[in-house]
This record gives sequence, C-alpha cells and structure tokens, in this order.
Amino acid sequence: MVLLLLTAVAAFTASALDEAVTNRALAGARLAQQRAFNAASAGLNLAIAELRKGSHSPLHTYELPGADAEVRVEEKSRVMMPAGYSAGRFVEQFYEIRSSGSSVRGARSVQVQGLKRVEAEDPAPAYLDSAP
Amino acid sequence: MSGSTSAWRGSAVACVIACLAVLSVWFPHSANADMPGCLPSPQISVVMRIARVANGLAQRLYLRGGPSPALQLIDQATGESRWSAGRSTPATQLFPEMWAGFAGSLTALDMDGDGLHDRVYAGDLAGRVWRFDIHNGAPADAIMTGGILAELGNATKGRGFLAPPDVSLSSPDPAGSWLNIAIGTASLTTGAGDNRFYVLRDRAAAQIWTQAEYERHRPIRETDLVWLNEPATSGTPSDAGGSLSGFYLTFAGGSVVSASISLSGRAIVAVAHDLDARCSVAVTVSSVSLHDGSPAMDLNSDGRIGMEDQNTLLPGRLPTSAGLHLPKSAGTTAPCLLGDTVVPGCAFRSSLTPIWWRREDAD
Repeated sequence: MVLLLLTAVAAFTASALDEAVTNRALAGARLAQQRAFNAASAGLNLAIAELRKGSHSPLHTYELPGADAEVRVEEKSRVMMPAGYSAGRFVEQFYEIRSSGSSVRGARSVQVQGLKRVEAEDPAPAYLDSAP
Repeated sequence: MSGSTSAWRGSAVACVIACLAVLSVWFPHSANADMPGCLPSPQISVVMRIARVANGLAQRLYLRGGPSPALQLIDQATGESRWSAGRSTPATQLFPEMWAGFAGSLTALDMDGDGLHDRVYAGDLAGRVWRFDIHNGAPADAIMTGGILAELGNATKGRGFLAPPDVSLSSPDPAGSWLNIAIGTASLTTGAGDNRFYVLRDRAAAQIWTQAEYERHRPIRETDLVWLNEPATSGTPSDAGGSLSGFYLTFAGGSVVSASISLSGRAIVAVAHDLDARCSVAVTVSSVSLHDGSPAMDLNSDGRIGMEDQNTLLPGRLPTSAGLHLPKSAGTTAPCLLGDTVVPGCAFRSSLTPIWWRREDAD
C-alpha cells in the first residue's frame, strides 16, 4: 500500500517537474523573442535618428545588450511635386526601414517602418542650368 | 511734386534693371560687353526632357525665350532649333496671340512623374501668363497646345514678366487641388506703374487641354483677383465656392527679376530697387500664404507675423544676380538665402513623418 502511494507521489512529482521544465523553457523562449522584438524596435529608432540627422547608411548592424539589430534603409518612391513647395526644387521622399532583431536561441523579430519627408532637391532649380 | 519726382525716379531705376535684363536675354553678347557683371541675369532657358519631337529620339532640349520666334526648343547637342513658336512663320507652331516675346520667365514641369516634362508656364513681356501642354512624340507642328492663362497687363502699362513662375501644388489630394503660379512683374518702360506679385490658381492643372480648349479659355484678369494690400480694404480673401482665381500684392517701386520660392504653403519673393554704379540693389522681401494671401513669415524679426511682414527691406545691398535659394546640401533644416544673405524669418524645416508600421515575423 505504501509502495503504491510512493509510486503515485513519484508520478505526480515527475509530472510537476516536467511541467516546470517546459514552462521554464517556454518562458526563456518568450524572453528571447521579446528581446529580439525590442532589438528590432531599437534598430528602427536608431535608424530614424540617423535619418533625422541627414546621414544614414543603407545597411547597418547595431550591437545591443543580449541582442543585435540589422537595419536596412531604402529610399522608395519620390513625389516630384509636394504640396506647398516649389515644383522642381523640392521632392517628397518615401523611406522604408526594415529592422531585424536577433536574440539567443535563434529568436528573431522583423519590424518595418514607412516614413516620408520633404527634401530640398537642388540648391537651384533646373532653369539655372546654363544654355549651350 | 517731390513725391512724383521720387516715384518717377523709382520707376526709372526699376526699368533700368528690367531693361538690362531683357537686353541681356535678347542680345547677350552686346549687353554683357557693355555692362559686364551688372545684370540681373534672368535665366534664358530651361532644360527640358522631351521624349520625342517628330518621332526623333528621346532627348534633352532647351526651351528658350526671345523676341522672334518667341519660344524655341534647342537641341543641346547640336544647337539646332527643333521647334519654335511665334505669331507668324517661320515658327514651327503658330499662336496668333504670341506678339510679345519671352525673356526667361519659363518653368517646365513633369506633372505625371514619368521623367518627361509635360507642362510649361511662361510669362511674356506684355504681362501675360501662358500655359502649354507638351504632347511628347507628336509632330513638331503639334508638340504643344497652349494659350493665355492670365492677361495681367498690356503694352501701355510697361509691366512684363522676367522672373520664372514658381509653381506649387495646393494639396496632395488630387480632387479639389490646383496649381499655384507665383510670379512677379518688372518694369520694362520708364514710368511703368507699380509692379505686382501674383499668385494665380490654375484649377484645371490636371487636365490636358486641346488647342480648341485653350482657345475657349477665358484668361484670368486682374479684376478677377483679390488685391491683398489695397489701402481701402483689409483682411484675407475668401475662397467660398472654390472660385477664387488668385490674389496679388503691389509694390511702390522695384521689379521682380528672380523667381519666388514656396515653402510649406508660403511664398516669398524678392523685389530689386535702386540699382547703383556698383551693380548692387536694395532688396525688399515679401511673404504671403498660398492658402489665403496673409503674411506668412516673420521677415522683420519682430517676433510676430503681421501686415508689416508683407514688405520688409533687407539690410545692406545685394548683387543684381542674387536669387532666392537654399544652401547646397540643405538637409532638413536650412535658412533661405538671397545670394549669400540669409533672409530672416524664412527657413526650410522638414521632419520625418511615420506613415505605417508592420511586424513581419510570424509569432
């Protein structure tokens, strides 16, 4: 009878242990995924800050605590006549920033941000080209 | 008496500036030889990207204004005329109303973003603003359709256009948007009246007109526009019903010899006065909102935007060739420059605007 009881307790203990181990593994994976997500967000913010400063590289990797982010900045379409600005002297430039955050255990998160801004096209309009 | 003498002197000086500009366009070698470096240098041509003229190859051409023919498309490589427009032959394409020449008041636009110019706005020496649609690939005698968009002067008033039109879109929404055509006049004869800075609204901007439609169009006249600084009235024009054709400012003296610049829905224009022996001019600048014509920038740096910002004298004197522009590599924040002089209260500021975000990893 005691032996039967001990066997039942052992079975319950083993099951509880297995659940605890599984939960811990899941929590670890979730933490890694969260880190990857945060790294991707941080990558986006860092790339936007670079773009605001007027200098950006098309591909950059940011090393972050426990994770890293690979960021690709692409110039997409251009609107040649932004509203309220002299035609031919300004353009509305659209950007796409793709930030891929990576963490331990192969966790990965990809975030993509679309942005736009008006930029000065030339210091002078095309008509300042000299005639032949 | 002294007032009228002063006014006459002012108009004479304005005329000297403008007449030199016209001379430099039409007779560049002789004018430059007489007064080297002392001309406002109006731009005499615009670079145009035209796909084909008469089934020729895609090419880069210059659109040039002059006395006769009034307009010409010049092949950049060979210097040959590929197309011309005027009142009579031998112009390739005839426009019976084109009796006044053009002197560099030309702006070419790519309306559909295909890399080719398809619209031209041009101001002539009789105070008329022309609009042309370019039909790329058409025979040389039909490559453009065009006509008078606005008739804002006549031969006796002595006001004409030297500065290129500054064109801007009113709103990103295609429905209900129009093109603002900001352009200032210059005195071409002594005793010419007060010059103007017009902001015209081309409400059919997206339409490509046939020649018959141009001929049916009733040109905008000064009586259709709101005079912003009319002494007897005040306030800003109303666009109730979407019928406002535009508005204008008058200047007590001086001529507009360079293009205005539009920033964030506001236009700023420079007016040249008092040409001296050292080839320099005094310059006043004016700003208007493209939306309602109200003063739009704190040009006199008094900390507020008011009617006095409609016309502010810049300190010092500037070379006659000075034009409004942004510095090279302007980036996202830059002051407006007139020549090398910073225009107070006028700056280009641009910010990044997030428009969408998405997460691509499957979770």
